[in-house]
Amino acid sequence: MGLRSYVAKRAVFAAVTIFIIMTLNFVIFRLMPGNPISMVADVVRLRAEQIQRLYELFGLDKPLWDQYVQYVIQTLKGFYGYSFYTQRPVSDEIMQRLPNTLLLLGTATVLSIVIGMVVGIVAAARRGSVIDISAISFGFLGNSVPVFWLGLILLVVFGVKLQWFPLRGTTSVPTPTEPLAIVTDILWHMTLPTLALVIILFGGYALVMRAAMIDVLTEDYITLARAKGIDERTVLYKHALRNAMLPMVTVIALAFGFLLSGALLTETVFSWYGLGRYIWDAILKQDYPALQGIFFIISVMVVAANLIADLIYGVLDPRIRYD
Amino acid sequence: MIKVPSANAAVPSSVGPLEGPYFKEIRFKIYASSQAVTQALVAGDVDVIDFFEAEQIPDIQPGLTAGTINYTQGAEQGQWVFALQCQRYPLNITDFRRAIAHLVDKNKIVAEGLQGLAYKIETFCGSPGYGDWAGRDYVTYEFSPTKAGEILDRLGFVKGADGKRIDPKTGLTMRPLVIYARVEHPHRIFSARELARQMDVVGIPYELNEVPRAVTSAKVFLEQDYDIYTAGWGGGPDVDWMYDNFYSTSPPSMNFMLFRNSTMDAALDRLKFSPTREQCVQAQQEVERIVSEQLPCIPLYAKAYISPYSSRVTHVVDLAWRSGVTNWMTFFYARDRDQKYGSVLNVGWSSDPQQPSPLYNINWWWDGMVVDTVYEYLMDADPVTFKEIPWLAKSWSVEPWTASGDIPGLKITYNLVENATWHDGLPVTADDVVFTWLYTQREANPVYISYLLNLVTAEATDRFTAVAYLNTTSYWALHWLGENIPMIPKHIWENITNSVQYQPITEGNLIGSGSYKFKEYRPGEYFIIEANPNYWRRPKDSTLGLTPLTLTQGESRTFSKAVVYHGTPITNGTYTLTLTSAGELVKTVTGSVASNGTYSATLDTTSIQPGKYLLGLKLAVPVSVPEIGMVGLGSLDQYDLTVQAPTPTTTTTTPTTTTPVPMDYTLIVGALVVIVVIVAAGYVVLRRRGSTT
Amino acid sequence: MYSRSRMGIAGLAILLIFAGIASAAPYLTPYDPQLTMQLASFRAKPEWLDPSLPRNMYPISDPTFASSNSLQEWTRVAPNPSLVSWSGKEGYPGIPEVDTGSGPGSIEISSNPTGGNSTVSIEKTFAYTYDPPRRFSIHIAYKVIVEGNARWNIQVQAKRADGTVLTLWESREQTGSIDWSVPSPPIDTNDVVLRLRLFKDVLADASRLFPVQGDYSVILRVSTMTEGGTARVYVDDFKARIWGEAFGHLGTDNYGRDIFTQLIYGSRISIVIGTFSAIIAVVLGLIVGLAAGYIGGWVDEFLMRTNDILLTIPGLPFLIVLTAVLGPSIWSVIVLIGLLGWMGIARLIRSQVLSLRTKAFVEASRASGGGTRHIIRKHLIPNVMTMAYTQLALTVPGAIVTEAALSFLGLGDPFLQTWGKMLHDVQYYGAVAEWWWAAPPGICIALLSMAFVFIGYALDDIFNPKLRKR
Repeated sequence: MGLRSYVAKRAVFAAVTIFIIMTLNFVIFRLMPGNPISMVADVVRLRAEQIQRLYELFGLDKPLWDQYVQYVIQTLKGFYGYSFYTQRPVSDEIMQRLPNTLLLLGTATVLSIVIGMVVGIVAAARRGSVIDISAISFGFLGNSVPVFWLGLILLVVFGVKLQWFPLRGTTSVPTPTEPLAIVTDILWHMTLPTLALVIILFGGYALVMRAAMIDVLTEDYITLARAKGIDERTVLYKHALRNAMLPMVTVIALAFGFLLSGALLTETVFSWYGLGRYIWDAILKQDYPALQGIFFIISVMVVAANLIADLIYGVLDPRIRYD
Repeated sequence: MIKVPSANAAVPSSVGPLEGPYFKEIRFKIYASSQAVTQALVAGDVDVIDFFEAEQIPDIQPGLTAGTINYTQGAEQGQWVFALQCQRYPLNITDFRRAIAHLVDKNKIVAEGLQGLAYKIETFCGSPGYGDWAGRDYVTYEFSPTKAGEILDRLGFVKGADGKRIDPKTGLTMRPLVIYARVEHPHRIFSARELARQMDVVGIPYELNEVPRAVTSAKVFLEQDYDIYTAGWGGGPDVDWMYDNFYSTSPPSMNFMLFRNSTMDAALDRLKFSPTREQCVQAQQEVERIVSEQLPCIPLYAKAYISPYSSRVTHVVDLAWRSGVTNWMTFFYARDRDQKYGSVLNVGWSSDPQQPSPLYNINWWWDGMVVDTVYEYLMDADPVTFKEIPWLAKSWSVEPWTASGDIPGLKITYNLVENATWHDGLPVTADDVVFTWLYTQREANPVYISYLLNLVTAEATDRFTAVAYLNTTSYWALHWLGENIPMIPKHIWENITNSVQYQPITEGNLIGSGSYKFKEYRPGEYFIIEANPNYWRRPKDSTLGLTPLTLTQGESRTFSKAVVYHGTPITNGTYTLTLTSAGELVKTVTGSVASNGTYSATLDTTSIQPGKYLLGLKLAVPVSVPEIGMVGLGSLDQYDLTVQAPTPTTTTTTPTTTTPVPMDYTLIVGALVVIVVIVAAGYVVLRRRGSTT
Repeated sequence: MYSRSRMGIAGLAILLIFAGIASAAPYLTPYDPQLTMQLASFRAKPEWLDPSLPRNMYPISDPTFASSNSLQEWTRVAPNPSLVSWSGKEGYPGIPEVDTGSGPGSIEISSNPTGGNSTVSIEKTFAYTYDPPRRFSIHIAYKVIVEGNARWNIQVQAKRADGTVLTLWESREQTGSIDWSVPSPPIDTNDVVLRLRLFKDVLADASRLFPVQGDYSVILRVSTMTEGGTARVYVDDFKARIWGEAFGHLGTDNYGRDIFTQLIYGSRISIVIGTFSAIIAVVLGLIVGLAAGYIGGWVDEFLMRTNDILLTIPGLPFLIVLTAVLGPSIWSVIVLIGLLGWMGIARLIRSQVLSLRTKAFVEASRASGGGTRHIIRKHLIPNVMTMAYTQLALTVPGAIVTEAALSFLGLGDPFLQTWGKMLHDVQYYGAVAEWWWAAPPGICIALLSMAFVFIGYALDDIFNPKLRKR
């Protein structure tokens, strides 16, 4: 097949996927019950003409097909419409929250990957031992514990009872002005949610790493290396890890794709001003444009991450290159 | 003719002489849920909170016992009911509605669903908080499923073989009644489920939907596509809004029960338009009686609210129509127990306010808190007696007047205080008042439209006298114009054409005359308002001042401000310097902007006489620039300027004061952390790899 | 082989324990997790937490007055004890559909036969040895038969250890007969009007009635005033209750429902939801993976593209939206979780099928003349099925946690108390600090998930030939 046609095929597929996602996006949110201008009408007792004006403003009076076409064109241009709730551009609303979510999830993901990899390697090397089982157990425990529960416990213990960490938000009220103070302030606010996420997430990576390492460690060339007298550590890190990294890389690439959506529950517990919470608020308020915008961005990131994973896989796995 | 004698700014009310503010700043901290807000109150993070339900009492118990949390209590001026869609079969049969009323065990709902902290009501305004507006002549529907069954049998809805009632019109099992219960309040869910259980007992099929506000807004208020809905209102000391609720020709979004009854209409006409209070009370009694007999809704309970607050705050004001102490009057009047002036009040919010504007708001509970504090009304209601207290209007008089067509009407004259100023320094005059009324009327503003329906015209007969002419003799007219419409500055709003969409904060235009002015809003995190140092009701010994600044005559000073939004300099704003003295405009300078987004304006005091001035620097950034969505780019800085006569030693200095907008540090922090982690991990891994033979 | 895997044994053991609990639920607890309310005061603590917390107490031993002996527990503090007697004729019949009544037998208190005023009190004294309670309620049913000219008044009072007497309720002076009635609102410290009347404080509770340990009494006081007439007052169904602040193994929730019961019944639903969703996901994954891997060609392309598209949709938010659209019922939750969980399995099955296809022995089998169906039956299916079982075990935890997340957000079936719903209640009512309520559901979710994961891993170890030690 060759690398070039492999890449081309993947890229085309990615584009098609995005288009299908856009359409699915549109259809699903039209199915949601409720009427978008209801939030407005409830409070301010609109007259019939004003209701009509709002419908026109949001483009809801046009037939469904026209709405769809307009949606596709605008999305490709990067415009996601005006939020029904705040009447500000959705892209701006997303941009306000995006850095916070990226910061939290990015840090948590990187930390859990690193910790997970180390734990996985150690567990695989001493398979069946107490270390292995306890590492896996702790990983599973973390994985199965609902993140919102863990977050609530951490918040109550370290926030309310011990008062070591703040109870809410990304920043103190008001935000400090000194650059150093701003940085420490953000780090201080970030600690508990990151801790909760890392405890939850590292187990999954540990398991993948462990499984991949175990797979590799039973291969012939490892036995050969051992027979040659190479010490265990080199075997582990120089020979085994290199090959075990392949599935790990895929998992890591995919993880970054899901960065944005994984934060919903954590952000709610810690009142973190991020995209996860925005999804939830938008659902409660039937804010279609916001939901469409977020879902689209998330899907694009995931498709992009998938594409990168496929590309890396294509480069690293000689079987594909020369297939 | 009613005339209230002139009063000065320090008029005593039931709570004391109304002077303030005392806090230098009020910080509204935004949390993701009301449980988080209550946690914050217990932890001392906030001093007052936005909502408090009976279920949360155990959570504040440690604070109550330790004495760090106090509370006020009262009966709310509000009501919780089962609203019934009266045009839908079979609910359009009055006796059917009465049968349902017999299925409601109000005692249980109050004792179990609200922990007893509510008053059972049999009329719409049955809460003790309503005083003599509550109906005295009403029908009670005792909780009795047997009675309900008898009524249903009598109407022809007999039980079928499967135990469900049969519709006499079709001969088949009747259509399930659609019940909507909002999930935001546990007691709504509880009452709906109790009703459902009793419906099971008596054999009425139902469909219970527990949904959030967005769904019920659509189904109930927009489409009236429901049968039973757990409705609730927060009223206020005036009850004329019954008219909107029950009048047969009210828009269906307001009379969403679709109740049409000519006797009720007649009573509502008398309630809304009678000229004296006694007649209004009588009419209200009639309204209550009809509600209780005809049951457009089944009244359930009114809450006995508890409003907790930190014990370090004193002089809180409890308002029955705000269910507690978290209201503008507390913000204005309360102070720190240990420090009279200059402390900070923290308020816990469970939601973003979105876009506070005097003319439009969606998240009305939070936006309203801000609007009521930043803007003011001509008069207010006393927290205890509910009688009118003078505010921007120090006195008023009501005289008869004849409108065109020989309609008896009213001429209401409001005499304004003379020392009130807007936050940008300009004085509040009758022109602003008249403009507010006519502008909101012209814009058909949905929030205030019912108060302005009868306004024929208005004029400012002199600088501080505003006169309104109405084509009704209603007792409420004084309140419509006086207590319900916040006064907005003419010089800011006269050029704004779409007031309903307009968002003042984005342009630095949330400018009112109130005790606090807008300082900063960081979406999702906090909203800060700071004390108005120039407030016309400030106490004599107040130490909350403006930033003092002294210049020598002949000196020039350049003020500048940089506006950079996500790396892009914003250059289409306007930076205006105004110098006012005793309310009169002395000098205006329009600043210039450089391509890097720095605005500057220079004040040259050469031609300024020595004396005291109020110096204002206003940055307005129009919302039409597409890249700007961020709020708070506009700003207003004020200085207490003293210009002194030149001294022999002349030193000309032109320092610049810059206040740059802080950058967004989150990405930097993120990058830092990631780099550190990767480097550390790499070190660990590589070191292991390297240590071999 | 399975028995050699320590993990597998542990997992299986935990699973069996939960399954046992789930099926034996009705025997482990007599209460309904959703419907049995008011077992104790709201948010009661577990009994083992603190022995000085009040337990449910019913000071009146026989509230129904079934026999004349029932009057013995009462001290008759009355000028004229003969006016108080037991009546077998009258008994409170109850209110249909509301109150079951208390059978024949009641107290009869008559007016003074010689006319005039008369006040009779009967008192039941009991010792109270706990910390002050929060809630106290009394139920009483009364009937009065009047002949001629008579007035009457019934009062229910409480006497505190220090001797002070508080009137909790009175019927007000009335004339004429009245059939069986009960006070409305009921006599309950959970009544704001009572709190304000007695203590002027909305937050006052039963601790004001029982502030210290000591002897307390419930008093029934009947006054009659006759002028040429008689009045006979019958009292029945006279129940007093001090609501417990400690109850059961794990206390109660906001409506007085037993948390331990909810925990036990929650296991049923978690196992059911977890298993059913996982089965749906695995079956779908099997079908798609087999078809894609074995048939290949454009079928493979199409299925894998669909697979990838569905994979890119963010799971939890999508699930939330769909649940909001379809309505929160247990079946829609099961189906949705299943429908969104098959993609990873399909990929795995497909790659397994592909690698099996290229394995030499399949070719060999074909060369020796075995038809397609033979190949499938003998080689593919067993291999793939083992993987399916493993995946089944590994998918269940995800399903359980997803259902918990949905219920936590309030989107699950509102009438089912699942573990996730319990956590939702903890958060909704702000009871996070009550760890006996907040921790067990989370721990159970974790344990049950872990059990399945251990089983899955044990299966993986067994069936994956590469892992067998040489």
